Amino acid sequence: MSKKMIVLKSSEGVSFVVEEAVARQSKIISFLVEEFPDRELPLTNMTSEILRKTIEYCKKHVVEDDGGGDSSSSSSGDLKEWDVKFVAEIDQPRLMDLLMAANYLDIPSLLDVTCQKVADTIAACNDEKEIRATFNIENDFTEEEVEAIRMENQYPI
Amino acid sequence: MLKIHHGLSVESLLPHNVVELILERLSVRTLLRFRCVSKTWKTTTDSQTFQKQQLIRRRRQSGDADNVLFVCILDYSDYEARRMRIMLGSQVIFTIMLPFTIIEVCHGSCDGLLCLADFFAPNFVINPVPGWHHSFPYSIFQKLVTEWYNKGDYRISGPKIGFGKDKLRGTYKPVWLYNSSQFGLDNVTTCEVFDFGTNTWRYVLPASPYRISGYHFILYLDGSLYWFTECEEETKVLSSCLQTETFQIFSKTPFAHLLGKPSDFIISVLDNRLCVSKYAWPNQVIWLLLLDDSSSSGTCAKFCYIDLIRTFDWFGGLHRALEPVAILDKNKLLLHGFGYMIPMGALVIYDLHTKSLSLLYTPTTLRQCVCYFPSLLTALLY
Repeated sequence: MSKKMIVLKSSEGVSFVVEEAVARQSKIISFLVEEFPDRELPLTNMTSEILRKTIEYCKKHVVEDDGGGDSSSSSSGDLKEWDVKFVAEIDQPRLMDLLMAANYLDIPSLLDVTCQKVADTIAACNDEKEIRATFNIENDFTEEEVEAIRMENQYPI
Repeated sequence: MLKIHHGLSVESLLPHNVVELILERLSVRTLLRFRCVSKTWKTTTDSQTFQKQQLIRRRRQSGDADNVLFVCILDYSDYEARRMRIMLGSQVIFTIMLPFTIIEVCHGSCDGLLCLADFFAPNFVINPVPGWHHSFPYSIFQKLVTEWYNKGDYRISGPKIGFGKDKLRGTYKPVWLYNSSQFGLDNVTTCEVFDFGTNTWRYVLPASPYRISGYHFILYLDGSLYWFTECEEETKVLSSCLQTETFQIFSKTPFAHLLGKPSDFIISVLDNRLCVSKYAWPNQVIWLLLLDDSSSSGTCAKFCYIDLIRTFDWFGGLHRALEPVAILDKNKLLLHGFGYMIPMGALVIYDLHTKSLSLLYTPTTLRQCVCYFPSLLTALLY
C-alpha cells in the first residue's frame, strides 16, 4: 500500500510533498487533513526555510505504525541526542521562528525542545542586559522600580 | 494569521503562553535573578498559576527528587555563614538565616514552603528563596501552653508542628497534635488544623486514639502526615491524610519489636519513603518502610547498616541515631546528627558503595536540616 501524501505550501508559494503520517504530528495539520482531505494546505506565515526545518524534525520523529509499535522507544536516547544537535545548529532568530512554527502548528515535542533551548540560552546569560540584547527586549522599568524589585528579596540564597 | 518577522521584540512576538512555557523551564534562582528584565517577565513570574506550573515542570525534570537541601541556621551572629552554599557533586546545600526567633522548624517541607512554630510566638510559613513569609495566629494549643507556663507548670512536653498539603484541593495545612492529659483534658489527643482560607484554627474530630510520642519528627509524605505513638506495648505508626483529615493506625508494623525505647530510633523521609533508623552503639541500621493503607500494615526492607566507630572522633559519642536526610549522587547518603562534641550538629556522608563515613560540614550554629525543593510560591491560597 502506498503511503498517503499531502502538500504543504510555504509563504513563498513553494510546495512540499510530505507523508501524511509525518505531517500529522502537527495537531493543526491533522485537523485540516481531516476537514479538507484533498487540498494542499497553505501555511502563509511560514517561510520555506522554516517549513523545511519543521518537516525535517517531523520526519525524524514520525512513529512507524507498521513497525511493531516500539520502533521509536528503542531509539529514544538517540532521538534526544539528535534533538539537541538539531536545535544547536540553528541560530537565534531562526530558533525563535521554529519555536513560533511549533506553537502555531501545535507540535508539542518540537515546542518542547525549542523552548528548552531558549531557556538554556537565558540561563547562560550573565545579567538582564545580556538577556534584553539577545532577545531584543525593551527595558520598561525605571531605575527606581528596579531598585524596589531588588529590595523585595529579603534573604535570598 | 500570525506573521513572523526577524528583529522584532521577542515579547511582542511570542504569545503569552509561549513566554510562560520558556520561563517555567528556568530554575527558581535564575528567575529571581532576572526579575528586572521587563514588566512582562515580572508579571509572569509573580503570577500564581505560573509559580505552580514552574514547580510542576521543574519537579518533573528532576525526576521528582528533592535535589536541593536546605540547612537552617537559627542564628544572627554570623552573617556570611547563613548564606553559605556547599557543593556536593551536582547538588547544593544551602544554609540560611531566618529573620524570626523561632525554635521549631517543621521537619519536612512542602512545595518549597517551610512551617515554623514556637510555643510562645506566632507561627510562620516561609519560602526562603524569594524571601517570603506569612504569619498566622496562635493556636489553642499555644494558648494552653502559655497558660500552664504562667501557672508555673513547665512539664509540657513539646509536640512538634506538622505541615503538609491536601493534595486534592492543593491547600497547605499546619497541624498540632498533642496529648490532652497534660492539660487536664479528657480525650486522648487533641488535633488542631489551621485553615488559611478562613484564617482560623479548628479542631479535627476524632483525633488520634493513641497518645503520640513527642520525641520523634512529624513527617510529611505524599499528602499525609506521620507520627509515632507512645504505646506501652509497642510503638505504632499513626498517619493523617490531609485531604480527609482522618487518622489511621498501622497496628502491625513489622519493625515494632526491633525498636526498643523511643530514644533508640528516629524516623525520617528518605527518597520519598518513610525510613526508620535504629541506633545501638556502635551501629546503626536503616530500614525503609512501605505502609499499606488498606490493610493498616506494612513491610520494611533493610536499606543499610552503618558502622559508627569512625564518628566518635567527630562527635565524641552520638546523642542518638544519625538522621538519614537524602541520597545524593545515587550512592552518597547524607546524614545529620548531634553529639557531645558537636552540640550544634554536623552533616556526614556515608558512601553506600565503599561503606565509608566522612565528615562533610560542622557549622557553629546549625540546628536543623530539611530536604527542600525550591519554588517561587508566595501565596497559600489559590
